[in-house]
Amino acid sequence: MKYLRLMCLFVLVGCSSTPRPPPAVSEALADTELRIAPTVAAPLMNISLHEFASPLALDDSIYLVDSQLRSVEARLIPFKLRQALQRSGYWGAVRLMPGFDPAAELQLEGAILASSGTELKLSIKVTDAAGRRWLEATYSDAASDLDYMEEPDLAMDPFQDLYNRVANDLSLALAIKSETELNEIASTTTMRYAAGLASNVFGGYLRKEAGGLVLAGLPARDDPLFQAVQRVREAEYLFTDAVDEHYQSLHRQVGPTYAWWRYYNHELLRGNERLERIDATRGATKGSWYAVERVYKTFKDAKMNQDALRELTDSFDRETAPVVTEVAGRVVELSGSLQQQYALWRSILKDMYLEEIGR
Amino acid sequence: MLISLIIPASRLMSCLLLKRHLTFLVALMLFLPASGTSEESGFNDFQINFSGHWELDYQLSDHASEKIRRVYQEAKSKLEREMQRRGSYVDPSAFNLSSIVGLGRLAERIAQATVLDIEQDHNRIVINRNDDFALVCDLRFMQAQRSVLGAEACYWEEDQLVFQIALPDGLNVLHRLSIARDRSRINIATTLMLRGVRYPFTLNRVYMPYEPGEGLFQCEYTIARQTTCTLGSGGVEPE
Repeated sequence: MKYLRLMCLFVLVGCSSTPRPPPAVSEALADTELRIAPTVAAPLMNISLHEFASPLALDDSIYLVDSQLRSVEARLIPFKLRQALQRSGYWGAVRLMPGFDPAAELQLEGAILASSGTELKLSIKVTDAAGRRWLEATYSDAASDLDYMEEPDLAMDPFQDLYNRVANDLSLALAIKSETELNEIASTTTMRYAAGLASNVFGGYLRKEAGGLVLAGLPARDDPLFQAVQRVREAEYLFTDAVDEHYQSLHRQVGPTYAWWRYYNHELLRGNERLERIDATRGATKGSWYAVERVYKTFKDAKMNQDALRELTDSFDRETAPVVTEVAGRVVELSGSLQQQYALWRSILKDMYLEEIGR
Repeated sequence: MLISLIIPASRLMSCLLLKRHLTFLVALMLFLPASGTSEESGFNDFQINFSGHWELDYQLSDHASEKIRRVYQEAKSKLEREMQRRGSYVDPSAFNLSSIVGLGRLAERIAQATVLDIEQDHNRIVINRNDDFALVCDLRFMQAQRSVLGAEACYWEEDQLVFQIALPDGLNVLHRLSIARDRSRINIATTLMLRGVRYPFTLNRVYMPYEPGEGLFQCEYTIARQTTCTLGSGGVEPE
């Protein structure tokens, strides 16, 4: 078995420096400008992006360093997309959340299918409150040496084209909706939220059909129970903003290290390709001590970079600072991971609603 | 013998095809150790615990220059014996004697750590080495894995934990960790193998436990607050 394992390792390393096949030209060369909204149209839809799923962490990256890296990507990449959507001006609040956000009109879910310094491939799905699909597509982009001409910085992402393409496709999906449709989605979102707090009171305003949720009616605006729901929903926005601030903090803190990791990863992959070419034409280089030591030094540098990233991500997971939010005259302190905080917050909101209606 | 199995980089296309066909086989073979017997995988309730603070025991550790000289002499004697046995001239370049020095010097740099800080639980082991990258092993998924450059694996061999790094140009590095029953010493045997070099080179580095003590400052790194250090029992001084 030991020899089998060794064989496997050698087979892996034998192929490890294989350059990836170049992506389609339309993906690699086309610069996509972000479409900016000419005027602010009402009503503005709010979008909540969920942390992305990262199947890579399970299937391809069994090393902890990698899985932590994927865990950071699952939060950083949607944050980049959030920025593009926000800049486009087509949307209301664009927030990044740990999971499903019942207060938002649109939910954007994604999965990272491939991610390295040279390639990014995402699967994106956008659904409205009624359950209708706005967008479902796979996007990929390849970074070139030009994208890494300068040292990485937070504002410049080598895969900005990809984020712009998603934002543009979504704004096109918005453009074909009538104002009536948009109003209906906004109302459906409100009633879905209300039904989530008190299904016995508000559940009847929504009907489930094959195409998704259908709005059956709306309560009176001065309905005290409905007004209580609106107040709880306002409180929800305070919390979602606080959660969103956490992701901004992650972006500021881990973003630069991640950008360096990508830069390094790109350099290593490209460097490998160059080494392959040099070896093919100048056999003398191969096997020299200089080449051997350079290979080890490059490996060591990359590993030390991974160490730094692991330390940062460890700290983030361990030390998610408590969220302190003042809601309706009370201060709520939440601790634990973001996911735990979010779950706790949902139960607090439900309690608040019961208090509001005096039960 | 094993080293010759490394696929030449120039055979890129055949490698790609081979890779495709071997994917299933490799995946299967890699799966076997993980689902094998506890004796083989070493998941014997994790009785082997390397955790703690360790510093180099210079007395018991190999000294690179001496080891290089010894391995060189042994190889040279072997060459001479071979010549005597055959009764004819044997080309010394076939024995690659000069490469022993290069390999030894590289091993010295790779095994340079003088302090180890090892964290181990049921899920993983992290061997932090001063001025070097950490050796990290996910104890739940001990499989060979492509890394940024080359491939890596960690696995148990009896009571020894082995880290194997296979890099381009035929360089292979093995770190073999073992610990004394009384936990008085850890040995890391670092072996370098290079394609075209007949002799692997092994450097043993022995570490003994030490207590890091509390120190004047207790520092902790957090993303939100960066590094914060506590002085004694009260004051907090940001770094």
